[in-house]
Amino acid sequence: MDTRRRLTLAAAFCLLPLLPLTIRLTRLQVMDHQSLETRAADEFSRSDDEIVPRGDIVDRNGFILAQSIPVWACFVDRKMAPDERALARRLGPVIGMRPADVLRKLSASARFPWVKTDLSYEQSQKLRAARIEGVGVIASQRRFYPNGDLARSLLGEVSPDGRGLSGIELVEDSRLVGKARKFRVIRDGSGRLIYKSVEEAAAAPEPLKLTIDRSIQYFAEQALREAYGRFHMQQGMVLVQDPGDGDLLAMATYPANPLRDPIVQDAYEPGSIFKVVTSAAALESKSVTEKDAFFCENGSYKIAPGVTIHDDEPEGDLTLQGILEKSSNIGISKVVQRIGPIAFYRAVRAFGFGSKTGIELPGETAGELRPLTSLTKVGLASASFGYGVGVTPLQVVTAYSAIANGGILWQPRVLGGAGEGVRVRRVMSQETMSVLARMLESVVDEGTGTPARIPGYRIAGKTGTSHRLDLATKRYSNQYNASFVGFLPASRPRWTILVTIQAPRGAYYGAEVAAPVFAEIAKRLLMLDAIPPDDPSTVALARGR
Amino acid sequence: MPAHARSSAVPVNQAAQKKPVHEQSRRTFKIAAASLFLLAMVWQHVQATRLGYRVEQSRRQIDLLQGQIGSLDMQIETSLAPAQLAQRASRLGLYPAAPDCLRVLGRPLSPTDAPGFFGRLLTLRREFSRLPRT
Repeated sequence: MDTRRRLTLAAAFCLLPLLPLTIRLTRLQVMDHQSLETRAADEFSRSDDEIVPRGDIVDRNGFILAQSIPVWACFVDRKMAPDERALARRLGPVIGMRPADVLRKLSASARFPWVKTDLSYEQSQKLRAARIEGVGVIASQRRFYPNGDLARSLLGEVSPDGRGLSGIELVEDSRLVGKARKFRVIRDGSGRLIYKSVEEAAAAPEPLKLTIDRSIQYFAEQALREAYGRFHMQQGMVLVQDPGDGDLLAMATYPANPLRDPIVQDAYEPGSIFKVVTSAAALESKSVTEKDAFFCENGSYKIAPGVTIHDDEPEGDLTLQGILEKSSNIGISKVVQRIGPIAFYRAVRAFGFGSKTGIELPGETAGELRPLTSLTKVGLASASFGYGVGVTPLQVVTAYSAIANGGILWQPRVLGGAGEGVRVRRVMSQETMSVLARMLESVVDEGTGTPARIPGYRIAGKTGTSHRLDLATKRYSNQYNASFVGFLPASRPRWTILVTIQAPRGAYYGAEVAAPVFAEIAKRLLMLDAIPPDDPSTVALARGR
Repeated sequence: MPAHARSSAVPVNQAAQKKPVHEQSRRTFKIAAASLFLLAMVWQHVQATRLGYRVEQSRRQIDLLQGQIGSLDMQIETSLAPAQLAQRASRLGLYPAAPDCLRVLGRPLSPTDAPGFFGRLLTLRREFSRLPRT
């Protein structure tokens, strides 16, 4: 055998043990590569979610009304902390709890009891630095309302796991939640995470803009709180709307209830504020002119056997303006008899009563409107001055905004940033609306609405006082709803304001209870925007006295 | 041996000696290049892992800092809440002005004022007409 062959054989003999190794390596790295990679990924790599905070809710000027902030939650693995007393003594001072309170949390039967779920950034840092065995910290988020209870009925409530329960938080829940970003990470031998890749990109929610003005909302709520101090009412509601586009600038209720909103969910009998609808129907149908006079029976009018309509003050002949100024039930019932049920009903529907407004809030009611065919003479007369119809505060303010802007019914909205408002319809001619607006000014200047006057400014409005229905007995109780609704400045209306005080104690007339609240809010609005007087002569007259 | 054969004998032998050297250097170059390539791949993998640690650390740092920013933002928003401002204002002895006492420079005197000389003249005329006649 020559040298070359011997060398080859020797080399082959030396390399032979490598053959099974090579076969094994080929099998592992080539043939079983996919399955082994998957198994390794399952054992060492995992998906990690980055918390995406719930979207902010801001007012029309960008001020935050609701925001989610990161918080950290501290838990204990009881298996890794056998001496709970020592742990409590170490842990308590770090997270700002008494050791006894920490021990109480640890006495729960779970293996991983939560000790504190709203640690601040500083506390979480201190806890990490303390490196207490058996204690873990995870990130979470908490809904925070920096303005306290401001607009809580409107904003609603959020569950502990970050889902909306009521109000705007519920309606826009899918928009506010956003999509968490998923990362692929692997763990090394010491348990540290190594970032690998992004699995799913995040969709951080854009802030949700409302039409609410934070300052106006505060004025409304402040005025209701002061009214409660004077009248201890059962419930108070204030609505402020921009008559030009239907934007709701304030929706206040007292007491506030984050789980339901009576402004959209409750209907009530409006009383005399509904007379404006009858008056509008009369003017539009041309059945009644401004000069026509109606005899108001000196305060007592027997409309049907056993049914008598009363006025607060006995009056003789009154024009339509006089009927509104004096708020005569007899006068308006005679007006509606002249125009007839069809014209009246048409006007009621045109103003939006009996239908939902379409606002983006849950649980809206359409109110109550008897069918035209079931309207009797007495029913028609009652409806003309606001009894026998159920309306929501939202419907009332929207109707008065139509008068303020010359006859356009705008859909009320609370979610801003979606372009222009929705124009529903033209309610009546501009001529009718301007005559009606002038009459409503005279209600404030010389009629029952004088407590709503502000020297220097032209204000149009109407008072309303209605008995409350006792739902248990289905009879009228001795409690009242006191209302005032109006718009200002009447020369170029910027705000329509409705104030409704339900079941006030002591005084109960709209003029005594609701009109002063209206004036208070109106003054604040005029001051907020520094609106100069549109009737300066009355300032001089007021100061001259 | 023929002359042409004799003359090519030396070049053929030299060519035969050169050929293995040339091939050997090419082989060495290829091995070196492959080794360098493998080394670069390993280095990249190590770098990726090192960067992975840093990215994860940075991500957690960002979370913590965002938490801190969130807390600070909340403190600012709370201090700017209308109720807080009203409380501070009343402590300082401030109170809301009457609405007719405020003027914004550059705005018309009245909501219904028309701009220009004739507009102002009309406004003055309107205001005089509203004053009580003595």
